[in-house]
Amino acid sequence: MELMKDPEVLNPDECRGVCIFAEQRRGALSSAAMEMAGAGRRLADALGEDLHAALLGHGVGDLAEELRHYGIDKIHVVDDPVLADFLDEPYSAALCRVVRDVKPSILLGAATNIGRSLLPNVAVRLGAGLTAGCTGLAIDDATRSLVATRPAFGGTIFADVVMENRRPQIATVRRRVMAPAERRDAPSGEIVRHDLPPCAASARAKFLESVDELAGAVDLTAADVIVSGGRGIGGPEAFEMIRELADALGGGVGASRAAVDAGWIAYSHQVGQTGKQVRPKVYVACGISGAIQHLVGMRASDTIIAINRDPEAPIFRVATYGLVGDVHKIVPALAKRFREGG
Amino acid sequence: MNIVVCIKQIPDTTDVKFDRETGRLKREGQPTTINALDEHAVEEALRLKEQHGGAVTALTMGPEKAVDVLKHAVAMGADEAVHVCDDALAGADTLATSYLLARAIGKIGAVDLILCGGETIDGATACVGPGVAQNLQIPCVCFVQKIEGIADGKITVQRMMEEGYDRVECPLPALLTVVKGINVPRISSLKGKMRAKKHQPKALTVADLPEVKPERIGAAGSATRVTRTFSPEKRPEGLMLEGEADEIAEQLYQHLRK
Repeated sequence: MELMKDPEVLNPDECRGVCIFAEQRRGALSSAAMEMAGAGRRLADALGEDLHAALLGHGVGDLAEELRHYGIDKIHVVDDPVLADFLDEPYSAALCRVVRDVKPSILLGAATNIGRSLLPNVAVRLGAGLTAGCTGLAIDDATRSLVATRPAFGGTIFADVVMENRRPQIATVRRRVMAPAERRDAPSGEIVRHDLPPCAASARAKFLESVDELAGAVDLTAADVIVSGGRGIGGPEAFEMIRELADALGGGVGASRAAVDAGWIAYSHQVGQTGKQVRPKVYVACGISGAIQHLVGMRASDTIIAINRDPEAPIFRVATYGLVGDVHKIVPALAKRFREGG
Repeated sequence: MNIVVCIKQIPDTTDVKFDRETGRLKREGQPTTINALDEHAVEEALRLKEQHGGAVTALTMGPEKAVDVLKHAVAMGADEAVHVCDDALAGADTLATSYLLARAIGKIGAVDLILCGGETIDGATACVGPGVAQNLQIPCVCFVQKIEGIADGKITVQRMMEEGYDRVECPLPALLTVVKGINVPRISSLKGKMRAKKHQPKALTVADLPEVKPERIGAAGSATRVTRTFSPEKRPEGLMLEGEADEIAEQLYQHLRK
């Protein structure tokens, strides 16, 4: 191991514009890229400067063309076999190359697993500040620097953070917070190709394969609707009714820590402090008492529906609608009613 | 197989207080605990040691009281503990923290693997692990849910992704951050607790570490600054629906249709 030398930092006076990391995976743009394009456009407009996007991958020409429909001024593409799948080293080297060429004032990426791996590495390479997991972004009129708002301690407190002396000002942004850019029929914006820096050419880590754990599983962090089960549903077989309600509502299945720890459902479904942080339009908590560790993972949802037999359960304190009664009767009744429609 | 586990002491409360002037967390008099995911990192290190031999060193940076989390790791079975404690480190953000931890790891010596919790419960930035890896210029895989094996100087892991997982192979030395699904941490044995009681973690100050520039540590080395802290808006009062299951379903359906 050899310690990295002090990074060559960008001169703030030379930095202009906003650059987003346009995340793609397996040949498809992530919806996170459109959220970043929306957020980036608003910041760029506030500054009166350009919006750039960095697209990394292999054979991503079509994706670059597609990005031309989202109001981005310049799309910077690094296309190389070593970037076919996400690996920390070549991706951060390639993104740094784009940043050093473009010299943006602000760099945004979604707080996805890829974004949360990649951008901290990039920040260290650039000697730049990073505010992680933001829920708000604004430009300070007086200083023209970024004010990034983020929750801490599971959302019990929020902080405004500035990175005024370093460039770029880097922020990762939580999923589903930023209104996505709308697709326009007419393409615009210029595609600029960048070479892969030599240091990225040979990745030390090797990507073996990508495994979908459940065919057709819903990415909870991107879901509009989540139906979660907790200890109160009684056992693993009760996740069948949870799944049925989720299907009726077109959503994904979540779970509390208690249900996961009991072995009723896989960890990938866990919502909460040591699981996924979600913010769907509708979150249905079935038989979940509402321990703080669960609340911090879901309380930013637009509408919360809680079903619990105990009217004093803490989950009702965050619920938009509190349904008091037997979860085994109410959940199937809801599934039936929502399937009927009308 | 020499493994370093980076661990952090965090407030064991949701009732946190901040200094209005500095925007920094008030730590005095608050109950503390080891960050939950760091406990999973310690557990994984101990399991690898049991399979492959070697030593596990727990490393933390923090105030004097942070020695408690090192003792926790020793009670679980860590061989050594290193505590970097220096007033000059106060106010460090993730950039300054990863800079310093990398140098502390350099001081520990020959290291094959570095493990960190995927994120902390307090800050939840998930930045320090990958930041340390970059400072040490070693490969990094974040959010590892399973270590499949180690052979020929390479480690094969499963990286948790939104829709499943990726399998990645990585030469050692490397840094991994772990998620909760990777294991169930052991309960410390009585023998372990006795050992931890007597164990003196190695105390280091900035002066003990190689190649540390004062302008890159603590508040001076930080690129972020908190300008304001505030409480979130309260959620509006909810509506309670009661009655037979069918009636409740009908009421909710009508409300959500609007």
